[in-house]
Amino acid sequence: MAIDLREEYDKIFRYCYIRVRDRHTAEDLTQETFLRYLERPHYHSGTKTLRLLYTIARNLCVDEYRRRSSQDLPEDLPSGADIEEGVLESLSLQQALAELPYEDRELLLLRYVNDVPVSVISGLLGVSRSTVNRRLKRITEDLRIQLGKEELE
Amino acid sequence: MKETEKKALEKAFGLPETEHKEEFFLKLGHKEKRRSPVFFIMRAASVVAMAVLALGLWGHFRDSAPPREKPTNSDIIAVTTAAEETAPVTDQTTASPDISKPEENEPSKVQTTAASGESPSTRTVAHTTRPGASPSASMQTAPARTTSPASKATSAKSTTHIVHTTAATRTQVVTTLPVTEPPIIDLTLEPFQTCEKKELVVDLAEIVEIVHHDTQAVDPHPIAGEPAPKGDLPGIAPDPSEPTEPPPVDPMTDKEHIIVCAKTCDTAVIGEVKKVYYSDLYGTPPFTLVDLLVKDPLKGDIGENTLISIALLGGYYDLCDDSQFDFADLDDIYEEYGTLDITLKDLQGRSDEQDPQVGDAFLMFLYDHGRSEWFSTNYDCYSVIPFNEGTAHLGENSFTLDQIKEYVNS
Repeated sequence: MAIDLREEYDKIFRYCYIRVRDRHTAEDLTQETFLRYLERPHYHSGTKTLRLLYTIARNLCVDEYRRRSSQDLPEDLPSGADIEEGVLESLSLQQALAELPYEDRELLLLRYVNDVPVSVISGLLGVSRSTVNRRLKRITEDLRIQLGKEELE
Repeated sequence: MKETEKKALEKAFGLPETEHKEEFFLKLGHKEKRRSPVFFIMRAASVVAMAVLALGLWGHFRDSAPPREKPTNSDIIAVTTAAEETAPVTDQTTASPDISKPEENEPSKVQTTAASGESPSTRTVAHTTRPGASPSASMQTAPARTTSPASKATSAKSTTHIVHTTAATRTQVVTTLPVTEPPIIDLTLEPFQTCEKKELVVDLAEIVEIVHHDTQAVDPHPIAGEPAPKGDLPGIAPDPSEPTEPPPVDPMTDKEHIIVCAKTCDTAVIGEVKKVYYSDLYGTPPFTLVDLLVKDPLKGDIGENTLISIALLGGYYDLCDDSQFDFADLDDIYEEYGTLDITLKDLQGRSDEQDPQVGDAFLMFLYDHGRSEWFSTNYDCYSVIPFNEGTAHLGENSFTLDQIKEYVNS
C-alpha cells in the first residue's frame, strides 16, 4: 500500500488540530511528525507508515498538551467563529459532534474523515478491531438519535 | 457510512486548511539532498573503522597464538571445491604439495576424512554425482577414513594434511590444514565435528529430495520410473524390484500459469476498472463486483470498449450501513457475533483495504457465468493479474502484451 505523504500531511494536520485546537500549533506538530517519521525508514511500508505517523502525532500532541497544560488547551470543538467558517447546513451535526466525548470525535475523524483502516486505528488506540467497530457503530447511532435520524442516514 | 455522510462529517468538524504544506515539503526535499553525503561519509568511516579493527585483531591473534597440539582455524590454508566437482575428497588436491610449504625431511602421513556415512554430507555428495561418473567419485569408494595409498607413497616428503568435509546439502567443503606436530594427526577433530552419528541412517526420500535440489549444479532430473542410482549409496544395496518415489513435480511457473489460464478460460481481456461494488450482505462470503471496460480483448466474443461485470471472490465490504468491518481473524468474528457460522473458507481473501479500485487495469481470465446464488453477473473471475504500462505483473515476473497474446494464441 503506497502512502502519499502530501495527502497524509493534511490528514495528520486534521488529527493534530482536533487535539490541540490551534491551527499553527497543529501544523508545527504535523511537520515535526513527518520529520520524525522520515528518521525511521524501516517503518516506511504499508500500514506501518500510517500507524507510525499517527502514533508520533498522538505522542507529540500529548507532549504539547502537557507543556501547555497551564494554558488549558480547549477540549471542545471550535467556538462560534470557527463554526461559522464551517457549513451552516451541518450546524446541527456540528453541535452534535461538540457534545460527543473527545475520544469519540477522534475515532470519527480517524475512520470517516481520514479514512484510516480499522486495523491501524485499533493498533493506535490499543484496542481490538471489534471494539473499534462497536464504538463506531455506537457513536453513529448516538449521532442519529441526537439528530433525529435526519442526518447520517 | 456513505460518502455524502463522510463529507458532511468532515465539514462539521470545521477543520482548517494547512498553510505551510508546500513550503515544508520543499524544504524537506533540500534537507534530504544535503543529508546524503553525510550519511555516505559516516558509512565509509564505519567501514574503515571495522576493517582496521579486524586487521588489528587478526594481527594480534596471529602473533600471540600459543603452540598447540591440534590444528585450529588459523591453520586453514584453503577452503575449496563446490558441489559441481564430483571428485572425491580423497583426490589429489588434498595432498597437493603446493598448497602449503612443506617442511623438509619431516616424517608425515597424509590422512583424509572422506565423506562418509557419518554425516549428512555423505548423502549429498553421493547424489550430486552424475550417473556414470568415475567410481572414485562415489561414496562406495570413499570410506569413512582412508589413508590414501598415493599419499602414503609420498608421505616421506610431503607435509601432513587433514582433509575434512563439512555438512552441506549443496556445497562440499574441503579444508586443507598443514600440521607440523604431532606428525600423525588424530582425525577426531573436535572443531570440525559438525555432524552427529545419529544421522547415519540414510533416508531414501530425503536423498531423492536432495537430488532434486542439486540438479542445477550436477544432475539432471532422474527419469521418472527408473530407480535412483542407489548403488552409489553407502549401506544400501541396489534393488531393482524396489519401487522408487517419482521425482518431485516442479511448481507451475508464472508463464505456465498464464498459459493454463488462457487455455481453460472462456474469456480473456485486459481492461480498466470503472466501478467497484463491495458486498454488503451479512452472512455471505466476501465478494467484489467490478465493472470493467475492456481495452484489449484477447479471447472470447467481447469487443473492445465493452463494459462487463465481473465477480471476484474476496475483498472488502461494508457489513452494515454505519460500520465497516474487516475480519482478519476468527476471534474478532466470534467476539462480535458469538458464532463462527461464517466459514474460514469464506473469509479467505478478505482485506481491510478497498482493492481493486477505480482506474486500476487488469489482465483477467474469466468464466462466462456468474459465480453463485448470491449475485448474478455475466462473467466470473478465474485469474486476475495487475496490468499497467503495457505489462502484466505476476509474482516477480512481468509479461508484455505481445507475450501474453502469444500464450493465449498458442
